[in-house]
Amino acid sequence: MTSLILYCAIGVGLLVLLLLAVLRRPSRPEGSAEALLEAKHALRTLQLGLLPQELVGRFFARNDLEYVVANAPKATERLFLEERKHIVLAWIDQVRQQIARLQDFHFGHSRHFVHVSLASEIALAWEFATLRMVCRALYLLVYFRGPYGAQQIAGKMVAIAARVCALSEKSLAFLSPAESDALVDDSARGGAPV
Amino acid sequence: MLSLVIWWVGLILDAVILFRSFRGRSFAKYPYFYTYFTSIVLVDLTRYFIYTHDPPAYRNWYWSTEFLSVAIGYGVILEILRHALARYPAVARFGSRILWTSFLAVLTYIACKSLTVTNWSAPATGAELERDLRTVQAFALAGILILISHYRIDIGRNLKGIITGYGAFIALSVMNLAVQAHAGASIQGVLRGFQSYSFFFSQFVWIAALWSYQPSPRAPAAGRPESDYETLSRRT
Repeated sequence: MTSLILYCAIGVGLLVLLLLAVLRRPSRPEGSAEALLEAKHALRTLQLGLLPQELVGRFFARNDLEYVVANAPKATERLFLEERKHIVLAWIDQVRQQIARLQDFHFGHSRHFVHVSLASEIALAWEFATLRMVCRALYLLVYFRGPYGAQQIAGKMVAIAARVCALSEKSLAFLSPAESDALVDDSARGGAPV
Repeated sequence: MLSLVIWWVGLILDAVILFRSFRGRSFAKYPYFYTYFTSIVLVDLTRYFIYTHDPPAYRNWYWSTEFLSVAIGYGVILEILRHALARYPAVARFGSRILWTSFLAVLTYIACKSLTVTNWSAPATGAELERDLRTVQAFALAGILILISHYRIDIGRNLKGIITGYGAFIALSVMNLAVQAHAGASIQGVLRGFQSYSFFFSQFVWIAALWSYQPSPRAPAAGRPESDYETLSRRT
């Protein structure tokens, strides 16, 4: 009976993959500047806007809650928890969207390279998949247990997101302005080194 | 009587597919797929001949030709690989690795089975053996589908049809053969009929998708270089 279930699961799995492959939305223009800039923007938003340590720490800081609990009535405490939950959920949603953009860019981009290694592609796909899964789990936890119910997972999500951002930064490095040496007057009289 | 009607309808559909492949000039574009398909038609014709002229020999003939069609089925997967991933060398390399690994798995499996099973053509082991071989094909096809979805590779109507028809046939065959192997000889006749129906579905898909030749689209081209440059310079 177990083998029957297993083989049926394989058949159903293949049908699902077929549906996903056939009904998928068409791909983006190959190598367009718009796609590159969008990925760069997503990376910047993640690194500077959504994942800085202080910001994430602030979302989950217990001292805010302790202050409200100590100094405000119950209704205010409830309102505070509700508002904080909405903020954290919006933050997770934003992270998820930017990660999806980065992922789209990566896998739309890497298919053109000849020297992509299978191991590194699997590793990157694994990182993206884990990150999106952790985002989803965190969203559900915050939704059901409130903003202070999943600090550890939030830390894990930030760590994986930082790793993914570092990898993305390498592939988008050419869009960052190069740091130029300061101009100094070191040319010999009558000649200018180029 | 009903099985003969099914047979005739199947053969008519086969003829339509082959006729359209010549009219639409797609035979030369998808040679592996049409070689598979032609061999399936020939197998069907020989089966029909044996079924009507020498019914006791039909069972053994059915299983031996079934294994032949499983083996030639790899041509369809090769065709999908060739057309979908040709423009992406690295992805095509991953795909061919998947294909060769699955092929090696099949050879290993057959070698192991030949050491343990003495009567190869026995219908009792036939369903089990075909189920396992189709499962390996299912894994190979699943691997290629994952690559297509993961790298957002666009595929044309012809290839979509080939993939949908063959993929659905493999998936339904795996489930059907699993039930056959589980239930034993008692309902094998009924389930083999079900397999014919699932092949009908594939045939209809192939007729619709391969009516005329439509190559896989190139991913939409990016804008003009100068407009790309303007976009970049404006925003960096």
